[in-house]
Amino acid sequence: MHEYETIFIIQPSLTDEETETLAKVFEGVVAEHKATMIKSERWGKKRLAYRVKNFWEGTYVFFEYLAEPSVVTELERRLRIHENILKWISVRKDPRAAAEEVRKAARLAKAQAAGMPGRDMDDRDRDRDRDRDRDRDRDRGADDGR
Amino acid sequence: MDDRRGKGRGAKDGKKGGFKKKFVFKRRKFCKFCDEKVEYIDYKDVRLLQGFIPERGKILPRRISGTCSMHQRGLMHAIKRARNIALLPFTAD
Repeated sequence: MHEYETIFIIQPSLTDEETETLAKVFEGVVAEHKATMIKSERWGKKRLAYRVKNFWEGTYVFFEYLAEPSVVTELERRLRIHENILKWISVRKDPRAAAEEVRKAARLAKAQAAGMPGRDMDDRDRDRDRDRDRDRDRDRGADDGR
Repeated sequence: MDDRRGKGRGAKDGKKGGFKKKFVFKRRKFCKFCDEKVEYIDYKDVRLLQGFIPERGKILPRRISGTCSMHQRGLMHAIKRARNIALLPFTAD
């Protein structure tokens, strides 16, 4: 058994419920193979760095689970077949990654203790996305439909 | 040659405060990751990785960033994975 993580991108035009059901379906795939889900996160709609199947954004779902390799194969097979999945990636978790997460959390806590509550990181991400969008839309405005 | 290097660093510092480059002289490059004792570079940490991809979307060479070979390799893997799930661009024009 190893820890794996899988990220997949769901087509953005689905409704929230449809997206959620879809995510649940794949949670089910992991569950039915005697694998343990460690984390199941919805990252929400994010900008894609490039166009995938003609979409510029997608809904990210993140799984972290403890499983046999066969589970990953099966999950990937299902993801490949499904038409509403734009992209996915599965990675065997690096043993050093856990230590790194702890370290990061500690640093964040320290920063906050030092009186730098700042803005939510997600806010910053959103701002960055917005700026990128704006720049790109402006650039594309001139030669649209390329 | 020294002159050119000076400029490069100046441009980097220039982001923070316009005229700063006049006062900054040679500074030894160092590996940012070694400094912070990073063991593993996570491909999901887009904010971190973006510091290493200039406008064009290429990976910043270590002769510029000063990253050590071990961490540059980790960084490369992380960036390539991030590109694979559209968190980072392969190219940007």
